[in-house]
Amino acid sequence: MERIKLTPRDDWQHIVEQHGLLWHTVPSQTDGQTGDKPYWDESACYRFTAREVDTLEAATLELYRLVMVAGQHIIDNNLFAGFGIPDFIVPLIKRAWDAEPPALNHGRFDLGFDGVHPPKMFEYNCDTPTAMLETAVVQWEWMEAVFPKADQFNSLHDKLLAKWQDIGPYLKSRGIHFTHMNDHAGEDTITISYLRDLAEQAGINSTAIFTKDIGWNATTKRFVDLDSQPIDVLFHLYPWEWLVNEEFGPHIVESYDAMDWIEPVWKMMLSNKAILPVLWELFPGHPNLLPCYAEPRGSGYVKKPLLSREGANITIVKDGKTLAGTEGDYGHEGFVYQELFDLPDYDGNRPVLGSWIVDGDPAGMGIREDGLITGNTARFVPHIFE
Amino acid sequence: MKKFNLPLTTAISAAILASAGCSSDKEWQINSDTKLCVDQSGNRVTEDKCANQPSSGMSGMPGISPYRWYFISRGGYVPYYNYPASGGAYSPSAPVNSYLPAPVAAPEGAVTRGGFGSIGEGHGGGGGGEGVGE
Repeated sequence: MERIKLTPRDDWQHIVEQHGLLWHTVPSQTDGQTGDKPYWDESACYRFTAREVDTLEAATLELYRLVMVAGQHIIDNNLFAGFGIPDFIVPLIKRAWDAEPPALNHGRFDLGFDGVHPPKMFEYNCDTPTAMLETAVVQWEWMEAVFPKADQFNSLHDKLLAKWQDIGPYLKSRGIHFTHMNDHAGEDTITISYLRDLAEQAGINSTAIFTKDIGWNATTKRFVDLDSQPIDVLFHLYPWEWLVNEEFGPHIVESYDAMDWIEPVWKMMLSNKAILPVLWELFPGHPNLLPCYAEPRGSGYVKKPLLSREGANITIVKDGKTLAGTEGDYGHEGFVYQELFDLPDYDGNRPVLGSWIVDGDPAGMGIREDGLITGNTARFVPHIFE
Repeated sequence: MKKFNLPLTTAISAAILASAGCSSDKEWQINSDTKLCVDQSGNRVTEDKCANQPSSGMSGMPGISPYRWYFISRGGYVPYYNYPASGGAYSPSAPVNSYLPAPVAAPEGAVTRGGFGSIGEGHGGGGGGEGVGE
């Protein structure tokens, strides 16, 4: 594993925009920075050996096995209160876990890896994982242009498409509504558009709707679209923990049998960082896990909110002293304390590897680079292997 | 060379963004004078937020509470939650007791909107890699 400095392609911004990556640059004054800086960063790349990729792929497969065991453990022992999951939604989680409704069942394990020691899991992002288009499409196109003889740990596009084709016949309708926030940067909008493209290629009709525009018909007890037509299948790039805690949350129960939710509600368990202490309790000493507890132990740990996103409200403690921290609106639901992992340092650039999985099948990797904490302005840096 | 067939990805974002604010199904007509609660931006919020606000005259206590009553006459339109109120006033044009509370639930057969999305609105994106995703 090595980091290689490169000269970006001329007009790289226009090139990646053509593939849909509109949020390639972090505007100035975001998080206090001065001047624009790239989000898509092709001034460097990471090069792996085939053996290292095999290691990452095997770790991803193993971690998926572990989180599925942990999910069953959470259900069998009714651990939902420790996850901040409201009581009213628990019966649906249990039903969905057993019924396995049609889903992409995709997710991204964020890993620490130095090329030598076993990859370590930081968290499993499986409710609304993003950095999808840049992983599946943009970095592949980059590789073909810049390193045409190299290979890449990346089958995400093909596996997502295959999964849409697989689940299509089992959906309540061949028409799916895709919902997302009307986001300023376009990331959610384009991520949804990409997933719609894949679904359409699988023979599924797609309609987009902003999350706040979803309606509730109190007479028919159905969620409806802007034409007041019932929504039979809803793909949501909007977290479950937000859906269930909003005004319409209880209506999810009322209408549950009438529709399919993609992804399923059981993902509230696995995407919650409260699963990290459960994993360590079930598999102590596992080479792909970091010790993690519900309370601080030792002198070096990372304090993480159960439900934070984009590196918000993280505190790093090393040798008993606070080394770094981020602000944010999360943490009301509680924290976990994960043993500090020293990310490899390439001249101040510290990579976190996002290893994708689609329904139990490892599907590729995207890398985000930042400092001690991988935040919302972390750069996406492409990779190859040879 | 792998070929990606992504017509929506390259084309639809502009259409989706352009559609924001174009939806018309965000309010229903009322057949009696009605009062509802709005925030500082004039968007309708749940009525319990105005529970401690006076209902007469220039209601609300600017600088203390961000919520105020808003009065709409019969035949006007009540917006769904989180959508802007219009066509009324912050002071009643008829005796204040003649104004009924806005319906909390939708009229029979009607549709309410705005019950999803509020938490995400508070986490709005603004830069590269900053959606609501993980």
